[in-house]
Amino acid sequence: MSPVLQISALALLGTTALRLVASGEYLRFVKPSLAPWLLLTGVALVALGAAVTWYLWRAADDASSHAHGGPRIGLLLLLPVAVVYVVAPPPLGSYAAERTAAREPTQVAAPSTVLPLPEPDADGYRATSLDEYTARPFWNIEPSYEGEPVRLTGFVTPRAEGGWYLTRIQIACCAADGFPIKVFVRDTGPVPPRDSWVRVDGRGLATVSPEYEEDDALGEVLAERVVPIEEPASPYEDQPGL
Amino acid sequence: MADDSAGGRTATLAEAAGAAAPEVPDVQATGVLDAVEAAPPATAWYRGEVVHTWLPIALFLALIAFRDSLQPLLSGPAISTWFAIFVSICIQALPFLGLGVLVSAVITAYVPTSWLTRAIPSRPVFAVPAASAAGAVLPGCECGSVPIAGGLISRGVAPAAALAFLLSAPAINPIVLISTAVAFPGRPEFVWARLIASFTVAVVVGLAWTAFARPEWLRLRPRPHLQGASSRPRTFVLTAQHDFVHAGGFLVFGAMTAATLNVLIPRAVLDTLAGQALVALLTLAVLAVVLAICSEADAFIAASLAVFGPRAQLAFMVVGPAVDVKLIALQAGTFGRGFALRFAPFTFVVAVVVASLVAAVLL
Repeated sequence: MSPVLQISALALLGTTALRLVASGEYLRFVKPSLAPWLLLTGVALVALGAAVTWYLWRAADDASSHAHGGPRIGLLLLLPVAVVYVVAPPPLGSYAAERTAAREPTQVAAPSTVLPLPEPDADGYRATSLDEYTARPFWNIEPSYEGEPVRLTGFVTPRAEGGWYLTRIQIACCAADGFPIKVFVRDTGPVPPRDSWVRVDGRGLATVSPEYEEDDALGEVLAERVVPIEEPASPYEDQPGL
Repeated sequence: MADDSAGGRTATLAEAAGAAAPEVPDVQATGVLDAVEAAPPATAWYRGEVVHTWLPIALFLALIAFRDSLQPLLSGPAISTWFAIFVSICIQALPFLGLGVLVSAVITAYVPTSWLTRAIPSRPVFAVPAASAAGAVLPGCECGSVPIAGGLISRGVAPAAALAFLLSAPAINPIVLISTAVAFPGRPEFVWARLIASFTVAVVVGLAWTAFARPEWLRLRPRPHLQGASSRPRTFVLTAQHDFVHAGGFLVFGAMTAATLNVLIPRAVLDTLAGQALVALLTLAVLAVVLAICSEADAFIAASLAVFGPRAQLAFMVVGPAVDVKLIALQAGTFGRGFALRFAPFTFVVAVVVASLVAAVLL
């Protein structure tokens, strides 16, 4: 790996880190709290590339000899950069959701205690995360969403036997540790396209039927309206408590 | 160590090839300017320039130019998942790697060599635990600790102590422990278990080396080193550059392997393997060797393997920094193949046993 290529790799990686944060695309890979560290690292890598260039320049002045290679394994540093620019991978979707086991929802309050529901929004719906929605029945936290107007967002994971799950991937740090939260949508309309993002306005249900539980679903919701939406800026739900 | 490298010894090509190296430098710091002593013939230089610079750059630009035609080919659900997981591991690890490289470069350039050797007692029975503890204050990836251990041995530190340091430095330094705490939110017992288990492994392996090893098992190979490093800032910059490119390359390789396993291994197989305690333990221990994740990032991978249970997760984090495929390669290169063939399997067994015992008590 030649010096020029090493410097290019440092500069490209640094600028890629900066670009990912500036465009918000980093949220497809890691959690929001990493942003300042990514920015620092990006700046540091560009500075390092500049410093190496400086010393290389000076060495070229005082010696006619030519510097050669660093470790060839370093070529791999160009790969994530290429993937970000060429592939621009979408966030984890239904494929990952079907292949990964669900976990317990986050314990948002001590079991069997009271935690007020979120206030209704302008349309009269209580907007909440799939994690919080499923945590209440799981940890037996009062009051429940039973019969309440709720507003949930996620992507569509079709169910093999018919119907579909409103799904969100929750991450602790990065997409590699992501796991799905699935809520079965009781809906009379057609199944929306796989991996499309939707908002479900409807009534809360406090239990899950066993056939959906087998698919690792943690909740059910009675849909009044399923509205297609754009992919949210932050496609993953953050695991609280970090 | 900066004093040594700043001495401006002009090594000949024969030295670099290992024929008559008078002394092995304490820290391998081969930057872009290493081997300036050997100017190759002009044509070879030209060919090297094409192969090592312009060919990769042309390939890279071609990829970007044809991205619109390539994208449909690279957009299936499995391959998209692979890309997303691959990039996310790289991005997540980037700040951790950067911090580790920064600190190791500061230590290389600005901390005097002698402080560690002075701090470590000469008798192995005391030196091994002391060296293991010293590892806790030296952040860095395992790739960085191999050359440091080689340098320590060449400067007269007992090999057992240097090897204990080699095992503990990447496993229990503050960055690793902090990232473990972040990866296992609300479960500090994982941090303690990791600290205790990895420290114990370093001490046990170090003492066993004192008791049983023969000197001829370990053969230090002379390494190319930083040439004509005239100043500390220059040593700092070139060390950081080399370490980042080297460790970063291995990190990307680990991310590729992890993403591949994540996508390829059917959930049913993992669930089956995860279902039986002993199989789960050995599966993750072997996975740690094969994945070769940087110790500063491996806690995040371990956290995602919760289905295997805490004992196997701990084994993953204890084995990983001590034995993995890239470490075995680095050790064979630094200490000789005979060393790596003995050291790696022994360390693996000790790490698995110690991790199981600690997990039984703490997790």
